[in-house]
Amino acid sequence: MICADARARWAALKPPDPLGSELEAHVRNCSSCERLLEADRLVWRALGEWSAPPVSAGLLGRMEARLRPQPAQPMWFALAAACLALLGVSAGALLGGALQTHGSAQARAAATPSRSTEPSLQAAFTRYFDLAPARLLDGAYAELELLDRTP
Amino acid sequence: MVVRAAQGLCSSADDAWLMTQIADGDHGAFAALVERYQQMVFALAYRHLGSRADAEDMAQETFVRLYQAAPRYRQAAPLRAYLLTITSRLCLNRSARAPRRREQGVDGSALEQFATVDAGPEQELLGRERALAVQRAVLALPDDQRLALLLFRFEGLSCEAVAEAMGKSVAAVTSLLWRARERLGHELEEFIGDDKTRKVLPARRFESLS
Repeated sequence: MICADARARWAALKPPDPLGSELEAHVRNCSSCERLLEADRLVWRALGEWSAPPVSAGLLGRMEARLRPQPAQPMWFALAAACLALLGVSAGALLGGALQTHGSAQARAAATPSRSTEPSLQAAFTRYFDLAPARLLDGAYAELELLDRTP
Repeated sequence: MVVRAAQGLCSSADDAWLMTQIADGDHGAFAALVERYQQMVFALAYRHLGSRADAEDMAQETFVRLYQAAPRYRQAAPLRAYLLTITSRLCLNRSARAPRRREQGVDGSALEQFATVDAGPEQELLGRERALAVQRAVLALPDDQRLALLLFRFEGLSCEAVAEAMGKSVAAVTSLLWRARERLGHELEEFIGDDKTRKVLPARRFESLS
């Protein structure tokens, strides 16, 4: 057994796991590995003294506040928002063909959520959860919301 | 909202049942699940990021994602593994975005965890110094080495499970683990070991802690 193999095998063990005869024989005859393994045992023990502090009592409350549905906006607010949106669309329509076409193409590209922002997290997610069924709007919104939550 | 989750359910019970209840909008079930796993999630994030505030942010983000995904949870999937995976990925994202914070070291609360109640002043000094050195050395590891080590050492995961959580091959994880352990061995040479081999600590180091 060469040193690299011995160290790879050791890395998968947790002291005081038994080394196994082959690894033990190598360590007996290799002072460099013996030194490293002794240091590793001490590191392992020192790490064991590191306990994390308790989580604060308010964590659940903060999460629940975040998940609580927001109260519905009053009717006048919705109407005002709709009027503003209409005004915006009208103004945009007046801006003219070429500029609008060019601009909207850029805007569409910029507004498209990038699934590559957090690819590993998305991959992990799909291992444990079913994807939203096709054409099910609330499922699709949930997916989008997950992407949007990526800070 | 009707609270249907029983207190003290945590023993053998079943995460899948809780997830079903959460999907039905049962906040009590969510609270029970958070209660069961919050310390695990927080501790992993805390050791990885070195800051209580960041770790609580990560824990909150992890559970909010879990809540939102509850309607689509597959019952066969192990929830603990999922939580460790999501926390790991979120921590890696966070530490990649804010590397400077990590270099500042752990926040003060961590040291309290090492205080030896029955030890004399000298032993306590040595313990605190060693504790700080261990934390600094772990936080100075590259992000992926640190995460592999934390999952392996503190969460009791096998190399295969660490590989699954990190989205890497088992060989890559074995290599990360060895490099992390070897580096810690060098970094901590003067702080660990028995009293005969350990160097005497200069007093000024301790003064800087208090």
